[in-house]
Amino acid sequence: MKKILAGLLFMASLVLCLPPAADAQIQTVSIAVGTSRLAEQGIVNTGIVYVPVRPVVTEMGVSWEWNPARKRLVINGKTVSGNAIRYNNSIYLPYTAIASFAGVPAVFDGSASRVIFRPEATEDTLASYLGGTSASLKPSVSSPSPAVSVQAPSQGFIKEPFVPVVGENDVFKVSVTNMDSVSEVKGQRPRSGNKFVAVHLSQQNVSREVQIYTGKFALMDKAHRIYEYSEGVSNFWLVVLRPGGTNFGYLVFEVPVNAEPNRLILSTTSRPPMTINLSR
Amino acid sequence: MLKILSMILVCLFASAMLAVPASASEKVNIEMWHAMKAEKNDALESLVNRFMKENPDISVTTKLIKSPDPKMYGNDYACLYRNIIQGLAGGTPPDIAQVYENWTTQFVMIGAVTPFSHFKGADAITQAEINDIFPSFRNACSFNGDMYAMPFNKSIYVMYYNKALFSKLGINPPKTWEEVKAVSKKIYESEGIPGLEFTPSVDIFGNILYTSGGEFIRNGSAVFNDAKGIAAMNYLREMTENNYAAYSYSSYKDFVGGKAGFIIETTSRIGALKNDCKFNYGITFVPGEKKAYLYAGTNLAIFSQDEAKKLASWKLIRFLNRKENNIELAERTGYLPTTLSASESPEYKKFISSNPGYETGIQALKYGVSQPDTAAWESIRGFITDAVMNSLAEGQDAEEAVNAAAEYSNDLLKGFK
Repeated sequence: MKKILAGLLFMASLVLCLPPAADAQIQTVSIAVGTSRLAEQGIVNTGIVYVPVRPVVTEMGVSWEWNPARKRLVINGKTVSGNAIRYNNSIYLPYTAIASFAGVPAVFDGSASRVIFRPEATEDTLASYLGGTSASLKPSVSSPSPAVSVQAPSQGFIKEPFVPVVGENDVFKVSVTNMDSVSEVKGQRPRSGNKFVAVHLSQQNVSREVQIYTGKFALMDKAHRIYEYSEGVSNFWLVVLRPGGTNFGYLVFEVPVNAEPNRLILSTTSRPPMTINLSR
Repeated sequence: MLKILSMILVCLFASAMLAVPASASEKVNIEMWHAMKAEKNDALESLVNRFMKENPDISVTTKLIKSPDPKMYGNDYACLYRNIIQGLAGGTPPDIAQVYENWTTQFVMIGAVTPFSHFKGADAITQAEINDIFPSFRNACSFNGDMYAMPFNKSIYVMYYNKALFSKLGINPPKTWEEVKAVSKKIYESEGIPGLEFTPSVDIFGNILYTSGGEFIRNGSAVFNDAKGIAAMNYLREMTENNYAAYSYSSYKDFVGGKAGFIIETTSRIGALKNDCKFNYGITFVPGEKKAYLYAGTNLAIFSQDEAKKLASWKLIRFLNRKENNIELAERTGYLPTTLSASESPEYKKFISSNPGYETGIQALKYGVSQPDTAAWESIRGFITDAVMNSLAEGQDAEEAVNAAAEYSNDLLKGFK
């Protein structure tokens, strides 16, 4: 059996997972690079605006390379991480990811359903250009990239890519960037009838005080069953967090194969449990 | 009459007050948390008992923290760490506990541990005591020029090799990584077993990295993705792809079963090896161009907030560090002595003459290097282990794998500043 390692979460080093886009009811968006309007369209999939990689980066004049054998996409010399999807036999990435890796500011204008990449613009001028939100030029550094499956994509829709979610109280901000099944971690496999679910997350101390004990995470499934994580195979270590400090890593939960986890719960000694809804 | 009675009462009352035993009112109780099991626990217990006899005004309760299920709750030391953190957050820390360097960094940051300079007069640590501690251990316990922890149960990486097999093939223990390759090739080609077998983790990568002149972290940044780090990862790939080396989670078992030519583990294996190994084996330095040997193990720190308990804890630490006790602990547990005087004593020399291998550990200590003390180290260890697995098992390019781990580590280091 192919090993799927939790360690594959690393930023800029990911083998791309290509789950196809979800659902046939797909909303499309137009794409412009500078003053050129592309014939190809982007799509809105589970709330994320995706654009086709090839026509966009070609129009930008940015180097790119797709290695089908290793299922790797390299843009601007950087191996791409993120929620890539396959749609109509093309590879799509969130427009924010392309903006990050190509180093080209971009904005999504929701009112006109269009994504505009502006190679000459700065982030500030672009944000004010349409009053929209510009894509960051750098991939987020404080949250882990998703773990990915290295299974070959098949035709048709397989599953939805994970949509990052955030939970927050007055002490901690918790961002979950991915949840995926893994078959083996550090030489350990789940027991028969179980599966490993890896949850990639970051935890920031948003209070003004040092947080000594940062709490314990648990996973809840749709049947309201609660699971502790397997600390021996996870890589999310308790650590004293200063104000503003961020810890991140992955938690591995062993759950029955039929479990459908949909909530992450953080229990601390000072606040009521924080529940983060993992599905939109 | 009444006056006499009242005087008697007053006297009785006063004597009752005095009758409260001095030892009970003044006895200081301290709690020590540790994760030393079996014979290590026995050794600690008998030393602690002797300490209490020597210090009748101090009572020590030891608490052995054991993981109920390592897969679920991490190993014993992970549980110890969680207990300390929860104790600190809840205002009920231990008085003394074993701590790794990267834990100490955090405890110093929040003022949870007492520096040794706190103790004055007759209780002040002497320069002779400080100088007696192995410098690499001492430095790893020092923050801003003050010691906050005392080296305790230490071991260092060495190479264990199948002497019988080496003799049969007419080969010598390798001294460089190039020699490791040549020797492993010979073993593989003649015996069909790997020369080197290792656990795919940060430790094998670190051993190659450090003995090649590299480092994990320098000036607060991850640097294990420099040319030396990439070369170390490429080396592991090349070795395993050619079957000269093999990775597994059973390298020790395979080695003692004669299924591998050599392994790189800490000296804490020496005791068990004596019983487990049926063939003639040797223990030598980790190969490499540079003498820089990673060590492992914890130190003792004081968490008490109460002055009397702080002092009692400090007395226990000093007692354990005393030459004869340091020797006893080393001989009974297989950990290395932490002081020069203990390691050079006739008693310990006699012990190592009948337990060869410890000598190699002591020699290696002169070149001992500590694991990074950043609070992020546990996570970074995980990132590097993932990089090793991604490179070896998933075929990820070595440079890409170490770069990714370093990038991730640097993000985490920023988040902890």
